[in-house]
This record gives sequence, C-alpha cells and structure tokens, in this order.
Amino acid sequence: MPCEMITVQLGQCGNQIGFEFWKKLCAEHGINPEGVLEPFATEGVGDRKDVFFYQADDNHYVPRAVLLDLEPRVIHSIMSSNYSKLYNPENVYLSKHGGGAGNNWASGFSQGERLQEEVFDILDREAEGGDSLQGFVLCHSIAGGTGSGMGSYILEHLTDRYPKKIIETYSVFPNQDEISDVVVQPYNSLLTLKRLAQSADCVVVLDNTALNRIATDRLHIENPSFAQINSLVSTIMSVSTATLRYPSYMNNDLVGLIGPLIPSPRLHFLMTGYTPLTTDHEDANIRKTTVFDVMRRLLQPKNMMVSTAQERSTIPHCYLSILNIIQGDVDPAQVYKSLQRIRERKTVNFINWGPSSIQVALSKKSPYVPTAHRVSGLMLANHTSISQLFQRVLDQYDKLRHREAFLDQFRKQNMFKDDLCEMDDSRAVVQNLVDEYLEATKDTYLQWQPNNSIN
Amino acid sequence: MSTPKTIITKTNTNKLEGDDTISDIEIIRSLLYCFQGVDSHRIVFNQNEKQFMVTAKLNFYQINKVNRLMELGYLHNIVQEYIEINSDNKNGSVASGIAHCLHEELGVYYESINKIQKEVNEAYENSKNYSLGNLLCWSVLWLGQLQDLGCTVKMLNGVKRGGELVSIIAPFAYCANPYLQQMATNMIKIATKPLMMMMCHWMVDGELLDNYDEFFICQCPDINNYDMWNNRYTIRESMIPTFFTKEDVNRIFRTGRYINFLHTICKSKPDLTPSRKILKDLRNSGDKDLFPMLEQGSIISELINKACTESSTVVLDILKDKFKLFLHFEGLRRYMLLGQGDFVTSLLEILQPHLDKSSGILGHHTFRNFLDTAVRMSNAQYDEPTILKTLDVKLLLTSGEDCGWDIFQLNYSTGGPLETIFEFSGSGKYSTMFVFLWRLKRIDFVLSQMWRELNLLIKTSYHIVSEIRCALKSTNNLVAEMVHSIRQIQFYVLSDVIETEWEHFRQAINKASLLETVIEAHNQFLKNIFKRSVQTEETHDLSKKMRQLFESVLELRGIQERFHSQSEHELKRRKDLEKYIEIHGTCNETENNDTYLKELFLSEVERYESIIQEISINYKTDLGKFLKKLIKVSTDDQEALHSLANRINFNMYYSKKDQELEKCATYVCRSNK
Repeated sequence: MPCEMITVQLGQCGNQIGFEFWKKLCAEHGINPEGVLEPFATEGVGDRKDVFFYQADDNHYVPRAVLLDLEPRVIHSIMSSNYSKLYNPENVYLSKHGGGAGNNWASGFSQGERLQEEVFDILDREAEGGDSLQGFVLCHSIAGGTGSGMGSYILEHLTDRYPKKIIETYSVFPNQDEISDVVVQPYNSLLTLKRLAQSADCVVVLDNTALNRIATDRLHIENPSFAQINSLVSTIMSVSTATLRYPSYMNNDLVGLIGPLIPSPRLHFLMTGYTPLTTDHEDANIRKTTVFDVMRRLLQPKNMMVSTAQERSTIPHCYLSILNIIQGDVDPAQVYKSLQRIRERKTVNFINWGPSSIQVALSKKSPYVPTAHRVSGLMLANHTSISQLFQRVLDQYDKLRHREAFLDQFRKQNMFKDDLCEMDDSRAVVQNLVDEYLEATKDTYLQWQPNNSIN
Repeated sequence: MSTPKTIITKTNTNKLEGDDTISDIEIIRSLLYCFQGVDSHRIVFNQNEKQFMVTAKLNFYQINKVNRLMELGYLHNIVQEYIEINSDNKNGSVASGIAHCLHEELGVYYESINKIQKEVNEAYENSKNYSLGNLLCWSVLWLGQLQDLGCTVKMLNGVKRGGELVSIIAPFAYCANPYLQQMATNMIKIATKPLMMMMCHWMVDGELLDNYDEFFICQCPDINNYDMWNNRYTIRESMIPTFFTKEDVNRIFRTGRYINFLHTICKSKPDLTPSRKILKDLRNSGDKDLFPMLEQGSIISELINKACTESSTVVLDILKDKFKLFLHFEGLRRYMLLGQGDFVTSLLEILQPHLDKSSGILGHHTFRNFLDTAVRMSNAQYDEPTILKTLDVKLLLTSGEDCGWDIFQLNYSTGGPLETIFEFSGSGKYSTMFVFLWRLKRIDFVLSQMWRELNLLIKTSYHIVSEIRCALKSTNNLVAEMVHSIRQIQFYVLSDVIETEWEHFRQAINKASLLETVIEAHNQFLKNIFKRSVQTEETHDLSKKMRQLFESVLELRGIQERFHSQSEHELKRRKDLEKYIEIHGTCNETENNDTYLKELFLSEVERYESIIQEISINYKTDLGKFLKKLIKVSTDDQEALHSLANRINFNMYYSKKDQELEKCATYVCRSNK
C-alpha cells in the first residue's frame, strides 16, 4: 500500500502522546486493544487501516510503531495497560541501562549514538516490512532528554538512511506558564530545534503552553492532567492523518498533504487549531455548526494550539498556507461559499510574495466514535508568527548561556567536551530560521538570501 | 316474384298511350335499382362520367326530380366503393372497421329502399298513385345522410390508414348533426378496437402486433443491441389519434419500451403490475375500444398513466437489484472520476515509469496486471467484486509517436441493460472526463515529486554545492506557484464540481422511483460536470489554456530532472574529490581540473536558471490569461467559473500585480452582489 507510515515514539512525552494516538486510531478503525477487529467493524467503511497498521499472519492489526525510551516508567505503563498486546514487542526498545537521559539533550544524543545499531535494526526491519513506505512520524518533546536528544540523533540519521522518505514530527514544545523542573530546557530545545529545522520535512508544533491554556480557559479544567492534554494532542494527530486513512479524491498521500503547506522548504513548522472544543462534561446542547462557522473559528487565535501573540506583535505576521480538514455532515457546495465569505471579509493576512489560499479537505470521520458535533475542523497552518516560539527559545537560551548556567552537565558529554560550538551553531541555525520567517512577512522574501556563513 | 312482372305491364301501358316519355312508375322502378347502385333498363351507370344516366326520355317535370334522386345512387356508389376497397383488412383493420360501419349504414338504407319498393308495389296494385314526388319526400332524409357518408368517405379516401383515419373521424363525434355524431361514434367504437388491441399488447407484452402497419409506434429496422433503448422504436406522429394527449402517447410509448427492454435486454419477466393486468384483460376480452379516450380523465388514460409509472418502477427496481445500477454509478465515480484517491495514487506510481516511455511497447495484458496491482495496493481491493470486474484498461490506437500517457485509459463498461440505457462506455463521456482528471492528477503527482526532490536536494547538497542555491530557490518558487494553482484547480474540479454535483445526483436518484428520473438526473450530472470543469465545446478555449499550464509543469519537470541529476553528479564528484584529497593530497592538476569542472557546472547552473526564468514568466502569463478568461466567461452564463478564479487568486496575489485582472475581478465581485 502506498503511503505507509512508521511512527517512532521517543521518551516519556513521545510515548505518552503516541499511546493516546494509537488508542484513538484503534477506536476510529474499530480495532480492539488486542489488535482484533471488532465485529461491528468487519465490513469496513472505506477506511485504510494499513497506513498505520499492518496485519500479522493471525490477522491481528499491529501498529507500525516503534517505542523507544531510556527509562522504563512510561513504556512499562503502556505494556501493562490493556493495550499491551497491541504492539509488536520486538518494536519496544528500552535501554538496558534504564537510567534515562537525565533531561539532558547531550546525554540523550550520545545514548542514541551508542544504541544506534539496535535502534536502527528495529527501524530497518519495520521499514522492510512495508510495501511502500512513505515516511516516518516522530513523536517527541523538544525539552527533555530522550525525546529531544535521542530524537535529534535519530532525526539526523533517518535522513541519511532513508533519504527518499518523508520525516514528519509531532514535536511538543514546553509549557512556558509553569516553571519547569528541567533547568536546561532552553539548551535542549535549541539543540533539538536545529535538527527539526534541518532534518525534518514537516514539524507539527504541539505547544504545551497553548494546550494548557485551552484546557483551563476554554475547557474549564483547573489543573489539566497529562491525559486531558494528550487527548487534545491525539485529536490533532488523528484528524491531521484522517485524509490518509479515509481516502477520497485528494490528500491521500503525505506529500500531497504537506507539500502545498510548505511553499518554502525551511519554513516547515505547522501550527494547528481545532474547533469545536468540548470536554466530557459538556453535553450536546451546542448549536448547529456550519462549515462557515468552523472555518471562521479556526481563524480565531483563541482556537490555535500555539501560543503566539499575533495581535500584540508589530510585525505583520501572515499565513503562508492553510489547510482545513473538515469532518462531519458537510455539503461540499458550502465549502466554496464559506471560502468566498472569508475572502470578502479580508481579515486573513496572507503572504504577498506568492499565491496562497485556504485549502479545505473534507474528510470522512469514523462511524465508530460518536461525537457531539455535526461538523468539526482541524486547521494546519503555516504562519510566520510561529517564529515567536523559536525566538522565545533563543531568548531563554541567551539568558542561560550568558550566565554560563548548567553547562557542566553538557561538558560531560563527548560532543561538548572541547567546546560549545554545537550550541553556537544551533543558535545560528535557529536565528536564521526566525529571520527567514520574519523575511517571509515582507514582499521582498523571494529575493532574500539566507546568511551564507551558516552551514 | 310477382312485382317485376307487374311493373313491366304498367310500363307497357304507358307506352301504349302513345307518349314518348316514360311514366313515373317506370322511372321509379329504375330509380329503386339506381339507389342501390344497380343498372336497370332506364338508368345505367356511366363508368366514364362516374354518374348515372337515364336512357329514356323524361318529361319536363320528371327531369329535375330524377336528377335529384339519382344523386342517391351516386352517393351510394361512392360509399359502396370505399367499402369494397377497404373490407377484409385490405387496407388495414381500422379501415376495414370503418367499411364495416359504412356497410351497416347502407344496410339500413337498403331496408328503407325495400320498404319503399313494397309501398310502390302496393300502391300500384291498389291503383293508387305513387309519384316521383312521394319518392322525393322519402329521399330527403337519405339524401342528407348519404351526402354525409359520401363526404366522410371522400375525406377518408386516399392513402390514409390506421390512426390517421381515426383522427379524421374523431371530430364528427362532436358534430351537431345527430346522424353524423352517431355514425362517428359507431365508427370510432368499431374502428379503434384493433388499435386498442395493439396498444394493450404493446403495454402488456412490449411487442408490436401491427400486421397492417397502423399503430403509432413502430420499429426501426437494423438496430443493433446497443441502440435498443434509444432508437429501436419510434413514434409516428401522423398515426396518433388526435384525441390522444401528448402525455398519453408518451406514456404508452415508454411503457411498452420498458417492457420490451425487460423482456429482450434484461431477459426478465416480472409479474404483471396491477394496471397491466387490467390492460391484459381488456386485450383478451377483444371488444374494447378507445372511444372513452375522447373524454378527459378517461379510465383508459388513467390506466396508461398507472401502467407507465408501474413499469418505470419495475424497470428501475430490476436495474437496481439485478443489474446493480447504483453500485455501478458508485463504481464510475470511484474509478472513472477518480474518487478512489488511494487507488489513483497507486496506479500513477506503478504506471509512471512505463507511461513516460513511448507507447506501443507494452500490451493490454501488462497494463491489466498493473491495474490489478494498483487494486491490491489500495482500498480498491475491498471494493465490490461487481465493480472490480467491470473495471478494465483501454489502450488507444497509437500513431507510434505518442507516449504512454496519451494512450492509457481506464474503461468501465457494464455492457447489458445499463449500457443500453446509460451508455456509460458507449457515449465516451466518462472516458473524456477520465482523460482530463487523469491528466490533472498526473500533473499533481509530478509536482509532488518535484517538491520532494527539491526538498531533498536542498537538505543534502545545499551546503556543499552552494552555487545551486539560487537556482534551487527559484525552482522552488516556481514549483510552489504551480502547486498552488494546480491544487486549486483540483479543489475546484474535484470538490466544487464533481463532489458537489455527485451529492446532488446521489440525492436525486435515492429519491427517484422512476427510471426517467434517474436517467434525467444522470444526464444532468454529466452535463453539469462537463460544463463546470470546462470540458465542453463552448469552453474549448479555457480548457486549452488550462492544458498549457499543465504543459508548463511537464516542461519544468523535464528540465528539473536533468538538472537534478547534474547536481547530484556534481555533489558526488566534490565529495569524492574531498575524500581523495584527504588521502592522496592535492596537486595543481587536480585543483585546475576541479576549477574547470566547477566552472563547467556553473555555466550549466546559469543556463538552467535562465530556462527556469523563462518558464516562470510564461507560466505567469498563461495563468494571468487563464484567470482573465475565467472571469470573462463567468460574467456571461458560467457563474460558477469565477469561483475557480477566486480560488487561484485567493490572496489577490495575481490581481495586485495585474491591473486588468483586478478590474475584471472587481467587476465580477460587484455584479454578483
């Protein structure tokens, strides 16, 4: 099957969101926690299970997932849950050392290097199993140790090993509203961002700051739990892959899906928005939503799952591209009408240096998962304001670096034994990324050339 | 018989009186023969002049009276002639029926003559006077009636037959003349019996039972199976009785056609529906006529209406249940209209290496295998076997110069009843649409590949071969622009047009209980998607412009592919050189050679850049023209087309740069409000 994807989940956070993602996919495809098709789902509803699953000889559906971690806690909890039989046990790799990466990017990176043979054995075997692998989906956090450090190592080497495959990541950015117990978070983030900028083809940014704010402000959860936040994340992940899993006229393969979103190769960081947002407590007395409502709300910053401050910025941030994936009971004739209404209002800022528009993909939704809403929508947007997130990382990094704080932990590792070049280099790459995003807000972007001294 | 004897005596007596004129009684006796068209001693029929002549001399008073009376004979002969010509179905059963009526009318007339003859005889036996005057009195009524009959017959004469005849008589049924009205009523009742039989037979068994070529539905000769639906039978306007409404005729025609279709094409003989059962009984009883049809809302009209509706439903049900009509609609949508996207992607991936080559190398069998592979690789594998069995590849005849893309098509041919009615394959409509959509998908696929390769090249060689940075960037910009417009064309064609129209079509056919509704909805669906995706004759100019955009993409692809391999080659050369120098060190020669090769590569890059520049300018110009044309056309009657222009120019990128386009666009904006 074309468009097969291998999911690589890394570290505590990566495995947690991965776990939620697979739970969601199983529910949507009618696969029970043991990988057996539910009796009500045997007919099939035009869904493609084999994008993310393969069928074992005994007809069980097995996720094309590779679970990697350097410390056992999350993986153990997954393997002792009722989904334990879902995964291929050979694909679950836990470092024997078991001590984790100590929230240190460098430790994660070097452990990645040390364990590469075993890890890539798993990945190679998984990749060989597919008829036509289209790419990898990496789930990780950029702030910790394993997801960021080991993730960075794997990112770099996936490109070398599978140059023709797409690498998409779902990268969790840390919550800025709470004081992190990971003091070296800015270092970790910066070093990971460099790899995301250089080795990934497409990064879906999952911003914990925004997700927590949405949970508290919009969903009125006082202290949102990981599970509640992760359910938001798994919604984003499942809807953003819906057109691959429910094939229709368009957007049935990953390149077709992300290509038009990324008109300029480096600017491949996507933010997401989702509407309507509801919690379990809320009942279904929501007024009838139309396609237009959904599309209009998706353009409101409060529904964005990235914490940027567009309105306060003096820079005329704008969209490079938008893809709305709309699910539910929709008359296709309404799509263009809604587009036209939005266009006439002229409230959406697009780039001036090239054509751009709101793409709308109508997608089927799983009949097995009841929803309270007639219509719902996910927005994948390439917006220049995402650079604020990177700027924030730069600022925090600069502060820490200026004080030379917590650098000892890094100097212990080989990479930083002699100097901190890697950090300077990463800073330059991220700065360049921020610069390019800012350039993209100007009409002259096409003439702009990145700083040549950086490589 | 004693009467003739007496007459001769009387005649002789008159003669003996020495008068050279003949007596009343003598001429009366001859007239009585003449009335029945029979020659007598005194009055004979002159074949040349077509009239009766008196051979004897008449006196002044007799002449006018006899001339007047002889008209009866003349009229009688006209009627009699018609009867002779048309009896025994010589000119069809309807004419024969009319002849029969006329014959009956004459029978009454003969009886009356007989009575007069008796009276005449009696009068003479009793030596009472019976004058020509008396006879004239008697004749008045008959003269009128025979004149009416004669008149009618003259109108009926000629080549007319069947329904035509009925149409001529029908108006008399409303005539103020009670005699004519009665006669017409009789005639219609008698003469339409055979028509009633034919009609019932047609509607019950779907067959023509028209031995004398009289029915208003006839079969066209030499029609092959595929024309069975549209052209096998036709309506003969001239043969339709005037008192049939258009709806009646249409319904009768359709009903028979359905039944015929069921029997001959579907090979299916479902039970008779209630109305057709009644029609069958009417036919079998054999003595029913079409007279009630003269009045509005007759039982027969109602029966026809019901039978038509019932049959239409029966056919539709059979097409749905036995021949899987709706399933095949879905099959057409999925494969000919590319609704099964993952299958299309698989097929493109598999075929691309083969179709890029020139055609004629691979046979049908090989392509069939590719098709099967694509089915296996996509969700198509779970599709209904009925649909998959119908799906096939079609290779067009090649001139040898075409590349594979020009000759490869999918074919979805159901054959059988569905093809007969809907001509999925025969009309070539789906095939035309497929060619267009397939090309659009191919262009999209090519752009995806370019995007992917560019991304990769930028990732891998960007830093090492820095000279290509600019070239890559401008290629990327062009590709991004192309991706945008081709994507928007796709969104428009696939979502705004096909998906939307399909949804309307689906709703229409799900509600439909009549075959016509489905046929009509299907025609409308095809018409709309052709019109809106600019694939009609009238929009030829637009589709040509669109194709130019496609061609630019392919042109770029060719050039970019070559450049891509040149760059990779250069990248590899530099990497190898680096390694070489690391191990062996460098020397003047190596360095000079390297400089030379670098310069060579640089000139290639420059050449490439100028070509990209050119394609980019052309593409923008073509796109601008396309947009203007779209907007211009949509101001006329193609309202929907401006939505495509708006989609492509969503962020006003094009209109900002092009004042003329901006003017067009604002005009459309205003005119739509």
